[in-house]
Amino acid sequence: MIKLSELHPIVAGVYFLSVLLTAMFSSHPALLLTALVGGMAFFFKTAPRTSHTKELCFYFLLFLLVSLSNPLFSHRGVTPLFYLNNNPITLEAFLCGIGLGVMILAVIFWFKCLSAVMTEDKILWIFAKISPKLALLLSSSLRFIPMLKTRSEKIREAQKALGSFSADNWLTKLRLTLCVYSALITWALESAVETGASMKARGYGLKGRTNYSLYRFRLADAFALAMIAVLSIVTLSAVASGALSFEYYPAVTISAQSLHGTLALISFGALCFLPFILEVKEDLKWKFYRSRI
Amino acid sequence: MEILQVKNLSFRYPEAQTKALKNINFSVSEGDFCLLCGESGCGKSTLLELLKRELQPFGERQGEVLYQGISTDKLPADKSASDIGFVLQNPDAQIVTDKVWHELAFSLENLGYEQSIIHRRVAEMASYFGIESWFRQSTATLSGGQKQLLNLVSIMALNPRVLLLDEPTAQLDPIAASDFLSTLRKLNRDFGITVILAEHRLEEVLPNSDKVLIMDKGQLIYNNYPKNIADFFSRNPDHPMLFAMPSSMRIFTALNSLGECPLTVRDGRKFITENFANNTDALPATSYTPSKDKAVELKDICFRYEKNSPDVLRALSLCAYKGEHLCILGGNGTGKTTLLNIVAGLRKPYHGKVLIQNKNIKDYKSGSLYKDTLAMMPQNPEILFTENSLEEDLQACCKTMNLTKEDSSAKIKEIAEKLGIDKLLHMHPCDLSGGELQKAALAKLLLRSPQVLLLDEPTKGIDSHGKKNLIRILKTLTEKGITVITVTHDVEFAAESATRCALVFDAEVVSVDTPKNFFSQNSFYTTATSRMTRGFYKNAVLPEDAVALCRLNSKGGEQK
Repeated sequence: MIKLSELHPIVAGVYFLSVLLTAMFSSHPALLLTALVGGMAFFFKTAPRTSHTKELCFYFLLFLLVSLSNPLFSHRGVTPLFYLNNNPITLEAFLCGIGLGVMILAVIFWFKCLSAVMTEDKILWIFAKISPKLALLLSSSLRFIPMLKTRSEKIREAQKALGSFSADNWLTKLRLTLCVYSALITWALESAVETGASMKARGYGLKGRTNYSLYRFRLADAFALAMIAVLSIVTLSAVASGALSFEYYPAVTISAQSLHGTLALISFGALCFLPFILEVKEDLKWKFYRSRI
Repeated sequence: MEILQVKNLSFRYPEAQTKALKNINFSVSEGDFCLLCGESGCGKSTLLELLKRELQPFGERQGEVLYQGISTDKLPADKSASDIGFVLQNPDAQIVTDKVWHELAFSLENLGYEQSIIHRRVAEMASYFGIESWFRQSTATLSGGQKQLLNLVSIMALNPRVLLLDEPTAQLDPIAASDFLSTLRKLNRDFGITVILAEHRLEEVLPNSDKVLIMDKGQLIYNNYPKNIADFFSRNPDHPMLFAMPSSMRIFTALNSLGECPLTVRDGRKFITENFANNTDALPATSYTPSKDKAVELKDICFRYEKNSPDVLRALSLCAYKGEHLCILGGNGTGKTTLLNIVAGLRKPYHGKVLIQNKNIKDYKSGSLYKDTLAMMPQNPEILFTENSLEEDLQACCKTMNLTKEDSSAKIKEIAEKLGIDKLLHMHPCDLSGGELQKAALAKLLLRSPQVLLLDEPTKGIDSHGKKNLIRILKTLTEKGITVITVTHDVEFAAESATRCALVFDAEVVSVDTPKNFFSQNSFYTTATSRMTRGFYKNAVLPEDAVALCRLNSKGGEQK
């Protein structure tokens, strides 16, 4: 199998959808923990190594905030640990907070992985399958954003050198800022007219427009898709059927161990660690190749 | 075979008093490279737009345009879209999508080609035009030249038979422009694609064209081979388009010569060396001593954009004296514009001092620098305007200077008359042509009566007439003691208007001299006239110099 980032957008899309759905809709601690660890493993394997410690600290604080605030606000549960202002702080609420924290972190990490893997191109490809017109609109808007940015910077500088921004009165300043924006909008409209002309000149609006993409669906994609499908079906069916249910309130209850549940845990584990394993495999492969060169 | 025929074509914009095109007749043979020239506002763009059905402007049209014998109105839509390609002036606005590969495929998608055909065509185009290395890039990351090439290539994907180009190089620097034009020439030569090109820079294109069309006020006044243009100008010696012609032709016409007109530097050189002697090989040197007052002084300026990036400017020192026009020349990315931004106080050097009127730039507090000392014109002058009409804009500018209504109206009137834009005051800044816009921008800057004027690429996108005007205006400004610093690629402009020229290379100023010395000592980075007379005459930089020298050296009469 090949790396997740090199798979066809539809395969990668299905993959992220399945992992995120499972992580968001189940409350089983084993599933959540697997999702979190798998997501972190993949993220730290692929992300550039500059800001890891800082980021980890931030997420740890976020986790503490979520898990500690839950028992302060929720007083459900049957096992009070102690009382705060006559309000019970319960074990169940505490555990639920931890569960929530893990889930939020897992979802955040998987979204970070998603934005690294699903580049603009891939997202647009998926959009184009749903609505080609919307995709074209998105594509041209994406093209417009950097243009607007550089343009507004240029206008601002030119106006600054005109002395327009040195007026001491904040009202004049505000008026001038608005003027800059109005100039920017005039320019954007002007240039949109020209873009329209260029589109028309190149036959936009004729019947039977097709959609070109750089992605080809290869055998490896089919294989990966089949595997992801099987693993997700096993996991999601267990979550849906209640084979992996987990309740915090009123008392912590866990569903009885079943074959389906165990299989689902294994499948989800495989699913979550799949991208990480593929990355490691690739690294080893290159090491091996290099040693032979 | 005639691929395009224009018959009795007239056109009037809605609510316009006069016709934009008056009874135009011409035809273009398959494979011709046609050059369409004329001053801005002569109707070039309107004519080109009328040749492409999809871009026809609204208005009253008479006459017809035939493509391969069929009126363009009756062509099938897909044939009309694919056979006639159109490249516009602005490289940015024509790009539709965010990725290079998508842009290449865009026109093919529109015509409903299948994935496999598009894939093959796109690959083929990218390989032929050498854009594989930026195939997957975002279109926003490309340079102007790359963008314009992308626009051309994405049109070429449809296999057009005719290419119409409306000043495609106006926004490019000379090197990118020259690359673009040679690609165009190659397409014409290798594939027999018919090209109709509207252009301001004729030095390079004219000798390579098969046919030249000159327009004037909506009429076609010349439609013939390039080598016969000299005859036309000998009949109309005062026509403003003469100033736009290649230097060799201007020298030839000024000397009232007969015979075949030289169009290239090579032929011009041959013409001069064969017909004139070089007994007097130099014009008397005119000495130039700048005034003693320093208007702008840069001392050991070092600048870089980021902590770990290389220096853009390294220990650069430069001085501009009161009342002079200093032109800063140099290749792309040598830091010319950065240098100008530093003088304007928009960027801060990490080392060195900037003195404006002998006062450190840091001591000009809260914008007092821009009040009455320094003004800068950016590369795109339209970004200076924020209001809906020129007059409102200038009024608003006066308001920030705390002038009374009467005072400001009088001041605006005075400046507008001086620059010749008093009739344009009611117009929206976006509706002005390149040259008009520039004059309007100058008016806005001059309202504050600055002592130092900075210009960034002022000749970009303006025609020869506009350039001539600009030279005249700058001259009157410097005579009044205003210091002008210009950053430009345009050597001909620098040679004609500067009092001193400086070359920036490798983050430093390499040489500073008067244009006469600067250009006659350079061998490559110099004007066409200087290249033409190299080794023959010593200090001929402008066509007028060469003409004067030729007259001094005539072998009996004007010509032997």
